[in-house]
Amino acid sequence: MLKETIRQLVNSTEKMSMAMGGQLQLAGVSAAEQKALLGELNNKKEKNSGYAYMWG
Amino acid sequence: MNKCNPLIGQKMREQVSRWFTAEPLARFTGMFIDDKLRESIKFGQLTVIHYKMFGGSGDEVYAAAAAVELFILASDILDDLQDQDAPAKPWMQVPQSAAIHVASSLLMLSQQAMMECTTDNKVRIALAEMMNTQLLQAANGQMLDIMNFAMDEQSYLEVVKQKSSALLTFACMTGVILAGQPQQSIVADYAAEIGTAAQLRNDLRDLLRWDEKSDFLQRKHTLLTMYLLESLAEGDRWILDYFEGRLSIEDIESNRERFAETCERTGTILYGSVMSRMHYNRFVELLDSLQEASPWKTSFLQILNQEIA
Repeated sequence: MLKETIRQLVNSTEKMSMAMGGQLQLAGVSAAEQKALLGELNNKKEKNSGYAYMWG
Repeated sequence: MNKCNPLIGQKMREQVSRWFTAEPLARFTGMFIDDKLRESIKFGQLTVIHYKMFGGSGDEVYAAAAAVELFILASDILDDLQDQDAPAKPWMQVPQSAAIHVASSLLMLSQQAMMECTTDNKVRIALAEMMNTQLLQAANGQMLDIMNFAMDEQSYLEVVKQKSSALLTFACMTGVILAGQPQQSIVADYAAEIGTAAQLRNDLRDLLRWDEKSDFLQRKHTLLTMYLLESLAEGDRWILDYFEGRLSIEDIESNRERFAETCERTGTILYGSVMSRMHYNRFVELLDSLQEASPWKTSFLQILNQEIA
């Protein structure tokens, strides 16, 4: 389900914006997956460059 | 933790001086150790920090960390010889027969160094048993990786667990046992999470590069290449055709930017980042649940976040 959610996000700028703002309900995604996904999206938003390779 | 690096390096060199009496063996090994010490010795640092976390306080840990790093050096050499993709490394610039011999000699030297790091026979036996168990597991994982064996996500994560996580467990558990403690399952659990997180991060790097280390150009099955192949649009058909051998590298060598764009557009990069972060988060949760780790958490995270060569 995480994979499907990611495919939906990258295909919809609206859904991606909502997810980055924490406003999108992520049905079927576990709490651990959701935390990691939001962590990566926030990281991208803050750095405004590709997804992080590092965690820091 | 970086201040322990010279001590670990010194112990590595002492073992070489003592046991490698053939001049070329000592000379080549010395060159290889010099190269290793210029880069990362985070496995040895993990041994030291676990020794301290679990109550150890002597200097014997530097000899144990040297044993760990001697094995890691052997493993690095063999890995590069198998992959033939690191021409700048000193072991790739000497006759291959010599490099193979140094690596196999280092495997034995690491065992000897581990046996000599303590005079307590109970600890020595526990170290030997743990070392052999973890390194045999890593050997199985490495073989599956060489043969590109994983065909689905679950089997890939199993290979990663065997290949990468066993070495991390070996490094961490050496410190635990040397401190006089029994093996800790939580340490093995979080080592597995660190290993998986780090491997997925490396997979991201190796997906996007466009040289002999590229997982895509090498048609390597990873979590990310599998996700990518499942996510292709009609116009991306060339990626599947290359991966399945219907196109050659000459057919696609000018497609680097197209490939990077496809990885971004399909969410492959995001998927890899999320999966890596999820395993890292799980490691941190496990670390937080371990009371002994509390004073050492910052140092532990610093070791892990050093740049990997």
